[in-house]
Amino acid sequence: MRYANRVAILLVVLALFASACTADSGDSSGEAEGAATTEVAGTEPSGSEFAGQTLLVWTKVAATPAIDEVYAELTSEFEDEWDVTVTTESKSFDDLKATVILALGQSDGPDVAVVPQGRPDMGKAVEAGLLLDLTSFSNERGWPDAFGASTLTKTMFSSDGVEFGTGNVYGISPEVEFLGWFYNKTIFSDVGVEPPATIDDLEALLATLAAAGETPLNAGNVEGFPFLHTFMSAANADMSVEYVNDLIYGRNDKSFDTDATQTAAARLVDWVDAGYFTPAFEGIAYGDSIGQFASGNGAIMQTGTWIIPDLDPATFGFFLTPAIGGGIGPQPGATSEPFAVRADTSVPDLAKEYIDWMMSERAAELLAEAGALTTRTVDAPGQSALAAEAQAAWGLITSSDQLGHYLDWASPTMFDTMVAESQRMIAGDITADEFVKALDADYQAFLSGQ
Amino acid sequence: MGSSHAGQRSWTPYAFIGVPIAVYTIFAFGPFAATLVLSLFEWDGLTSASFTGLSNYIDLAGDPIFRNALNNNLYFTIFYSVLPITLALFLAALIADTARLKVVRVYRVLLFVPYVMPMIVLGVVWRWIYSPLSGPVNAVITATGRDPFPILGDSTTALPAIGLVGSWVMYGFAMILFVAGIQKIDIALYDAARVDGASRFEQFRYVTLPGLRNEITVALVVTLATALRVFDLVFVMTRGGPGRSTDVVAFFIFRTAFNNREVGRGAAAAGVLVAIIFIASIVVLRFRASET
Repeated sequence: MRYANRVAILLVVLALFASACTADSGDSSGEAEGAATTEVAGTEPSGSEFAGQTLLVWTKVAATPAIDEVYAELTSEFEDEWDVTVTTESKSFDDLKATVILALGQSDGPDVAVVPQGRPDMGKAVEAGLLLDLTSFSNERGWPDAFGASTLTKTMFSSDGVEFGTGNVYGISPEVEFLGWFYNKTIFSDVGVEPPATIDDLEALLATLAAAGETPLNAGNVEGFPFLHTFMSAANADMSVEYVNDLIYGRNDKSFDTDATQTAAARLVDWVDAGYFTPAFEGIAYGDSIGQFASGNGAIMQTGTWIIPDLDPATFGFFLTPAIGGGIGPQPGATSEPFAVRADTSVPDLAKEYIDWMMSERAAELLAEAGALTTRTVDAPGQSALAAEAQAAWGLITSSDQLGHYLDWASPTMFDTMVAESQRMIAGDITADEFVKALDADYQAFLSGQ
Repeated sequence: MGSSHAGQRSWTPYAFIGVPIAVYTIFAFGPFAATLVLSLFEWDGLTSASFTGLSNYIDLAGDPIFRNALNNNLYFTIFYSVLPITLALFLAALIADTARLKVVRVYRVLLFVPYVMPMIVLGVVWRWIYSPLSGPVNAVITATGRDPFPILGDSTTALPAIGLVGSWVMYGFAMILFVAGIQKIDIALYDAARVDGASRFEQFRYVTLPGLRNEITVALVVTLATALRVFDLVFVMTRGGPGRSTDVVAFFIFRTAFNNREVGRGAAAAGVLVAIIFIASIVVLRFRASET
């Protein structure tokens, strides 16, 4: 073969590789269209000091179009109130995760942006000096009292970004998401069972449902995270808030190898062995499993509140993970990805006002009416029964100071480790004890590198 | 390749070559060189990077997760390369006599459809085909009275299940090359072979196979490279699971560089992947060259 041919083929190979390396980030940006303003809320003076200024905002595409419309309306009201122009670019979560931190380092980057939570994203942005410290503004506007101190700690970092859960406040979101148990009321009444008050009740309930020929736990775990959510809920409920806080924030040399994690893992293995999950759930995609549940298959689905828009509120109910002795222990959850302000923005005060506007009572009312769960608890008569039930659960979590954590926030590699090891545990390749030890190995490696 | 007349030198051809080379330099060689440089640093993508020499590469050599991913890629070469090329050659031999018929054109289009479809779409379609909920494969399993089986959720079946999708796609690609190649073979060669009493197998062995040498080389290089850089199918169908049974190097790079923000380490993994693809390509081309 001629040399030229070989070179040509090598070039093809290189081209293939280059195309493999180029992430195709579908940009779903779109400008928010101003809706007609009917009512103006807020107590701030109008005819403002910000008149004529412009604000660039990067948001995440909302869970439903109705919620997107609420943000558009709130933005439009904000523009009228302060006589400013807001340009909104709405992005998918994956798009945001890949680009927002880099954009915050640009001089023409967004003034306000939704930033993914946790050490690898928000923590890194703080470390790089890209985010504005909102602590004094937050105190001035009463965020800690209104939204709960434990809600805010999830967006707190030391100014060097090293310590998590302490120091300065860098963001907040008007929406919340947390884990819990959705149940099919029709199946519950057919079998004659009630939501459980203790974890023992829950186990008895699963056994009763199975004996009645129902699939107790609807699930799909191809992606690995759905089963983790069940594990996290069970493990959190047996820990104290102090312990789970220390664990996630990397304080006081905690361990993943505890009675709570051991018990939770062993319990889940028992449930797998007992056949409580949807048959072959290891091979079912999460999205498909939501569809199954919504169409009446399976008595209970343990997952996050983001599936509420997919469920018929007349058919489905919600309960939190019960603690061993009854009541509730810590529940994994957080606000949605928070709004934060770019450190070098030319309009810092306007940017902060924008976030506070989204945290207002009126914003919470509109969001709740549109089906969102809100950080600020408000009366929303138009809220669906199911959303109202979940919103009440959020109120209980914050008022009893039982906001726990997604355990994969503990280290940058924990999600990856948890997914791989939990799937091996489900398959019976490793024991519950080995699973917990593997999580702790990841965690200790992270702590020693800190 | 183009003919060159000794003694005549013109710069025009170089100008034509210059444009693609410039584009290549900007969009392929440049980023590639940047990746290699990055692989020598420890960098989170934001704060200042620190030069660490070859330590990223040394770490990778001792990393069981990386080695597992690489093994899975090598396993995929059977499904992306060996299987489809063998099958396509076999079928090409069967239709060697009829390759010039018009119906073959239709056949060619049908074969090429999976290759031009985005892998993401194919991944979604095949995820459904394998699904225990409503997928046809499990419909057959349950029709025989057995329980549904989590094809993509079992560590013994997930990897070959994804591999077979690769075979299906790559078989079409190889077949296109081979059918086109057969059409170039002088039909008189077959006639001569038949007159000499050659069996169908002998016609294949001594006429078709040598006539398809160039096409086989191209098919091998492209399919090997594809097997080594699989990402989309794994991402859509299993996310590397269950456990790490379908993890591949490209997904490892993605997680390391973008999720864990270890850009240098991810770049080093990319460097290793490119090196392996390069070596595999050179081996194939060398082998081809030694045959001629």
